Amino acid sequence: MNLDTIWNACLAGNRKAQFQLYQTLSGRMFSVCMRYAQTESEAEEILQTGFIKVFTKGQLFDKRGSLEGWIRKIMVNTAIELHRNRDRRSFEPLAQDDAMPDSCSGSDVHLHYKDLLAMVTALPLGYRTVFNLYVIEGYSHKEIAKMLSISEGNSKSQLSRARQSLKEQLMKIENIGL
Amino acid sequence: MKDKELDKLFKGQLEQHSIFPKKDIWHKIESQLDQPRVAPARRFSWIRYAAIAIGCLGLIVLAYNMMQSTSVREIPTIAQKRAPEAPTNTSQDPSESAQQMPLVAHGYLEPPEQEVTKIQISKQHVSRPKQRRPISKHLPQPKEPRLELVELKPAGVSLPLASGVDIDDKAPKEYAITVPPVAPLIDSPETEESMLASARKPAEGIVPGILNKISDALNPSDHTTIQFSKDEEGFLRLDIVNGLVKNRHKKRR
Repeated sequence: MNLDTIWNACLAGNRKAQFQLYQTLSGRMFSVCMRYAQTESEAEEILQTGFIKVFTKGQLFDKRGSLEGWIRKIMVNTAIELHRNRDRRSFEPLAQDDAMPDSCSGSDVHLHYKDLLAMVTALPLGYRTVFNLYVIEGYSHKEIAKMLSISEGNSKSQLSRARQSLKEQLMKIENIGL
Repeated sequence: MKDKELDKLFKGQLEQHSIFPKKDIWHKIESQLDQPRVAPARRFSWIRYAAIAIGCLGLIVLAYNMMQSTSVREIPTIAQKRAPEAPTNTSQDPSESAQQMPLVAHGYLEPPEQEVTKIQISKQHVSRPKQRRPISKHLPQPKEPRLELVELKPAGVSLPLASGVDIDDKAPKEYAITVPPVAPLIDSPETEESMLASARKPAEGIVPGILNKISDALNPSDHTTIQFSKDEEGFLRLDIVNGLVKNRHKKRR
């Protein structure tokens, strides 16, 4: 079934169509949630809240962009909102360098999705959010500053520190591999 | 590694990846969607605040209007001029008194004390003298009640009436009440002084005076600490002011 047809049925309150949409997009959306969350349970919470928003506020989708993009945006905003509500500090100290992904302990230097995800998840909340928004989602610093209620300079510096931290982690993995 | 390379590596790996969540999440979503949606109270909170604000504004406007109406309300003003009672005043030229009244009305001159206590009436129009009589009935009448008509003007302002203008009698007239000054509750200032609460000044005799001087000489900087005075019964009185107050600084040392 076409995604548009499913979506129209979802707007009508069809539970089957809603389940179909969830089945189609939950994998990709959960991946997004995992990048922003610290733990898997937090990612599940974001996914759940995000999909409830999608089904209850479906009328707000103006069909100008893609449905998947809109749902992704909802997931990102839900994650930011969750962190804001929990009132976590954006500038957390950097995670310990020894918190490396388990899969990197071997001689295999080839980096998999899980390794990279673990590196991103290990970043402090502020760095992680800005890195995800800028590098993966493609938002500008101006947009990020508005979304996170921070200055553009703050966004830039957090991205720079996030990159620096990721580079250090990658170097360490390479050294272990060699 | 350059920034661009790093970004490319992470973007390529993380962007389009899928991780399937646990199955029970859908059940949670479904159960939450099945719950009857309660209209959030916060949605209409601004309406409530707006209603309260409008109500408060309305009350303020109402109160202001009421205050305005009470202050602007027309006060019937009556001014009566009474002919001089005393025979000594009769010798005075009536034209002089007639000249004095406008000055009194203008506030340039203070009326004599006798007249201040009376209600003074001055008429603007002579056309209806009968209506004014009942007011003056209650007042002590002179032998020859003579009403002098003085044009009532606000203090310092004079409006010349055009000769051709005819003022309608039925039109509401303005009056002015001259209220006699409020008599003080306490006549003599001595009584007032005695009523005020004041610290009784200790009587000083010769001996306490000498002792006070000695005390001052001994403690020139802190002369108020010990004071000698004479009691009402003639006994010597010793006042130690702040004598028992502890000094923190001394203790610390």
